[in-house]
Amino acid sequence: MKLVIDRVSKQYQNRIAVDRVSATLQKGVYGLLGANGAGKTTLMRMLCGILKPTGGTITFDGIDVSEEAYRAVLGYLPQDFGYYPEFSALDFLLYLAALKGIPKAQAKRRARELLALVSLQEAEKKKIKTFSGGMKQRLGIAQALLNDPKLLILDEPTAGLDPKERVRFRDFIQTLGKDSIVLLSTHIVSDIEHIADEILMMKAGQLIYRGNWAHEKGDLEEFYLQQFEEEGTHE
Amino acid sequence: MRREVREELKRVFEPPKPQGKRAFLRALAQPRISILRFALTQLGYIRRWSWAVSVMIFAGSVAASVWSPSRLLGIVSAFAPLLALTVVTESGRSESYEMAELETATRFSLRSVLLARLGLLGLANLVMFFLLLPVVVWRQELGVLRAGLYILLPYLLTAFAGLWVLRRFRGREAVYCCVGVAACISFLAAMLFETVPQLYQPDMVSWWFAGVLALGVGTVRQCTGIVRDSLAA
Amino acid sequence: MLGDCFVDMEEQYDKIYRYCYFRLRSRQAAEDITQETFLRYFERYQCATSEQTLRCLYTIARNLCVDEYRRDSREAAWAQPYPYPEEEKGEGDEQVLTSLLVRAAVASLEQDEQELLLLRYVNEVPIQSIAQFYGISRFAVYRRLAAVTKRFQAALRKEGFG
Repeated sequence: MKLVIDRVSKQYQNRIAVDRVSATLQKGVYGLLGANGAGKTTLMRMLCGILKPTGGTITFDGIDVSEEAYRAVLGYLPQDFGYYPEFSALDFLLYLAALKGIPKAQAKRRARELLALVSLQEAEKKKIKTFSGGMKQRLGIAQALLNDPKLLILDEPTAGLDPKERVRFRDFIQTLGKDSIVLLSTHIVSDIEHIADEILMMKAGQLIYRGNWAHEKGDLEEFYLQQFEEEGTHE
Repeated sequence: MRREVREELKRVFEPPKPQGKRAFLRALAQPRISILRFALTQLGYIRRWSWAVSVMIFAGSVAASVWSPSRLLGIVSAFAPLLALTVVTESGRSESYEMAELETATRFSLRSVLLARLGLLGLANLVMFFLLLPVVVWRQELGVLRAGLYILLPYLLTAFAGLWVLRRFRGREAVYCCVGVAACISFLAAMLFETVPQLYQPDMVSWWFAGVLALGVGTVRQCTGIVRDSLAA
Repeated sequence: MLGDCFVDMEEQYDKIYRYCYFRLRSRQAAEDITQETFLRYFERYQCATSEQTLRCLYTIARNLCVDEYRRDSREAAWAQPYPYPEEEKGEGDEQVLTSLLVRAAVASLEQDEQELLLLRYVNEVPIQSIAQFYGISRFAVYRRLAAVTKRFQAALRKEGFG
């Protein structure tokens, strides 16, 4: 199980959003840290086949990101997502399950299992428009897991979760990381400091740091802030 | 057989827990549902409203053919843009409800969703067209070609303009804009029929033909464009 | 319908595994054969209905089990008892007693009779699939099932089940 990101770039007319990022990821949880605008979401969108890189390649076990077989093992939770009006939680999951190619009977069973997993089983028939932010986020996590993905990309997954939900989420992600590649992005350091096996830090579209973060090495938060202080002094 | 006994039978034959199940299921490239079955599920998600509009248009046209046959063509020309509108708005739903990203990252992807919606509704509209055409031909005593052209032009104009708007301006506002466009074309079609009958004379047919051809090509290009847009930008 | 027929793989994995374990009484062998069954199915077959798919899967599994017997001379394996599951918490004495009685009744049946009970009552295989699997008519399946059920219930009563 290997995700190979090879010199991936995304260039727009007047700026470079992602600048020659390279990384090889294997089973485990990876934290993608960076301020807003550092290029995290752009990179994640490219990893999900939503944006096409202007340079470089992305492959999972040799399969290119543009192929169906890549999407078949992918689970994605975007930063923001909507829903068709009148959809209940179960409707939403069944709709996406069909798009993921899962047959109906299996989809129903899987959807119910996942709703239970994210503690939404009571809300199965409730309309999503009645959901709180945290509930919607949990539903988003559920849909990402419908096809038991080997590659899970989560963009700001803890936004909108209350502290208790956050803790449950951390434990949950750690379990997933045991047999999948999980990449989650955030700008909140404490979220991933304890659950990520490795941390990737982005600034201005570049990957500026990659490594394990053992406590002996000092406070991650401090290092992180330092990076942004530097940026301040250059201005 | 009693329930407890059946339950107990299940336990009697219970083997030790399998250990390789998840790994095996993940390693196996699981087949997906067929494209046909996928299209069928998408059919179920097309709003009732879109079908209702088609039914109402058909009913309205039939009613008009009975009660004001001289105006039938004007009425059908005014209805045609509304029919085209259903295709356009259905296609725009993924963007307007912010489902597009989620849909793109799936096996079938947004592309298949759009193709299914455009295809299914386009087909339904084609059926409507072939149902209404003979009614118009008969009641207005027009040739098949002329009747066809007079109905197709407002339809294609709406489809072309609507899809163009959707592609340029994403989101909910774009859809509202399309509704506006369709309403205008509908009104225009009705007005022209009443006030400029010269347009509907046989000597003007070549203009209509050119128009339908140009808009037909334009609409097809917008369709392929919108599908192409759904692929990674 | 529409040429698709679905196997809910997660569900059927467990059921085929249960069947293989019944035949072989070895977890490892049963799992290997279950996996081989699915691999072969996807490689070679395209059944039109879900009943046919099930029949196909069970047939492949049976053939593989038979090969396994020949390979490993496991003929007597089926007579080995199942491992007793750990007692569930909160299980009353009555429950435990029922459990023992049912087990004893099942053990008194022949292998093919036990197999039929397994297929029909535990794996809930449709009659049509069972019929095709055994190469007999649906009517014959109903008859056989009735006979086996009768024997089973007689055995239960003999064991003292109310």
